Parts: sequence; structure tokens; C-alpha cells
Amino acid sequence: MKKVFTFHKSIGFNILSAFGKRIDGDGLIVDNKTGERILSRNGEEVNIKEFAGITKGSEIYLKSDIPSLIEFVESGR
Amino acid sequence: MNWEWLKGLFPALKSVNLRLLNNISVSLFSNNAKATYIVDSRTLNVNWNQLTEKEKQTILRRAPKLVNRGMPVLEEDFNSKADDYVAKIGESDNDELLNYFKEKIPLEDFPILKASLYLRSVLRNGGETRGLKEEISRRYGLRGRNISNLCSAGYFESWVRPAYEEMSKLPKFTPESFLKVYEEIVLNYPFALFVHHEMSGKDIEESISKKIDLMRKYGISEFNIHGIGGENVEKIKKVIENLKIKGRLKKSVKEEGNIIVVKLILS
Repeated sequence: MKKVFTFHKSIGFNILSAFGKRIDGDGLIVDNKTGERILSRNGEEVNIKEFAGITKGSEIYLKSDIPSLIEFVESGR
Repeated sequence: MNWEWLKGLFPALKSVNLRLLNNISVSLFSNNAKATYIVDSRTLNVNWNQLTEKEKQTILRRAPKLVNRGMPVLEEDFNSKADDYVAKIGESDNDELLNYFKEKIPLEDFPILKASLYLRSVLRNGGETRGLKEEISRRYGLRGRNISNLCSAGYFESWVRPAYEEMSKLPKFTPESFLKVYEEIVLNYPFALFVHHEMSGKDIEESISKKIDLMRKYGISEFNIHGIGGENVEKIKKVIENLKIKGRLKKSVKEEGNIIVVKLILS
């Protein structure tokens, strides 16, 4: 089993704050500095409800759906 | 990346051997338990609600460093689902099927097949799959929906693989000739109808008629109507009872719990 750092869904907002991100009025994750909405690996905006974590590759924001999960696993986690 | 810095936060960890500590995962949980942290064999579980603001900030400041050094920071359900996916996709039947179809089907269909095999494993274990099905359709569109339907019903084993094996015996066989047949199966699957919750009885009847036309076109003598869920099962049974098709038609119904398969044989 791989060593990981996990968080409960209710702490997601705190985690995003630590990465300099916030949530806009539509529930989407936004970069504090640029004000731009961050994109997932496949170029989709990420809603806080489907925020699944952050991985290496200059901070890739993960969505919780099964295709995103498979991409995450296949990329070597 | 090691967890030595956690010793500063939780003094009792000072007695834990560093090598042991660095081999475990860290999980931030959130409930009303009084314990600040619990160490089990694999995980240091930290109760977010019991931390002081200073302790929370110390942990959060570390999070970007963890990611920079290659450790993902993951929502706990996603992490569990990733472990579940790895276990299920590695099961021998899934692994064997994926190896078989590697480089035989289009590259872009491979992740769809993996997602579909995972969906099927969840389904076979009695899990809820509607959400997974929607996620596959949302990302991969019609192709995703069709491949997941075909895969769930076992057609990659019972149709697609035999089609490849038969075709590959022919002297003029080329991978492209198989891909043409594969495309036809994925886009039209003339041997099956998958009833979903948005289909009315009339939609089902019309789809059956179209499929029967396709069957005649391709010389296929039987096809199956699949339904999952009480509502779909009832709709299919009602349509089948009143079905009027030109020519002779045999019907057999297999119902198990909330799953129905109706086989129609044209003669």
C-alpha cells in the first residue's frame, strides 16, 4: 500500500487555502493570485463538491469521477 | 518525504521509531471523538476537530511541500476508491481481458474499457453503479455509455472476443477489418438492447423493432434485452407481454432480483 496524506471531505476548503486557492460564487476553485479558475488534468473546471485532492506535476487538481481516478492511478499516483 | 515534523506536534510520537513512522500514511479525519490522534499499523489518524489553530496551520503549511515532493494529498473517499479500483482491475478476469484487447481496440477506448470493467466489478459485488455509469457517459459520451453497457453484460467476452478470434483465422485478416466490425458492435450492438430509466414503453418497442431490422441485416438470430432496477424490469416485462413482431419469435425471460435479461429468438 502506498504512503499517502488524506483528508476528510469537510477539510477540503482548508487544504485548498493552504495551496492559495479559494471558492468562487459558483462553487468553483479559483487561484487567489490570478483570480483564474483552476482546471483539472482534462481541462475541466473543478467544483469544490467534486474536489478529490492534489497531486504532483506542478499541482494537478483532481476531480472525483471515475475517469479522473483512473488517470490518477495510471499516472503512477 | 518523512513525517519527522509530526513529532513536534504530537509529543507521544517521539517514542515511535522513525522508520516505522515514515512508512505509515497520515489521515486527517473529522469527528467528535476526544482523541487527538490514533496510530494503527498503517496510518496516523489525526482528529482535525481536536487540533489547536496553531497545530492546524503547521499541518496545512506542510501540504504543498508534500505535493512538491511527490506525495499526493487526497480526499479520503477518493483514496479508498483508488485502492478499490486497483484491487478490482487487477482481478484475474479483468486483467486477462485487458491484456487480450490491448492494441486490438482503439487506444482511446482502453480507459473506457477499464472504467467499464471497474463498474462491472462493483455491480457484481452488489454495489451502486448509476453514478459510475453517469461519470463514464459524461466524459466519453455515447461511446462510453455503449462500451460500459456491453462490458457490464459480458459482451466483450461473448461477442467481441469471439468475433476477433474467428476473423483472425481468415487468410485475408487485417486489424483494420476487425476494427470495422468492432465499430459496428460498439455503435449499434445489433444483438442487444439496454433499457435505461429514461426510456418509455414506446421507446423500448421502437428500439426492439430497429434492432430486429439490424438482426435481419446481419443474419443474427437472437438478441437480449437487458434491464437493471425495478422500474426498468417492470417496463420490459410489460412491453414483452404485448410485443407483436412479424414472423416467429421465441422469448425466454431470466430474472434475478432487480436484473432482467429477455432473450428473443427469431426463426
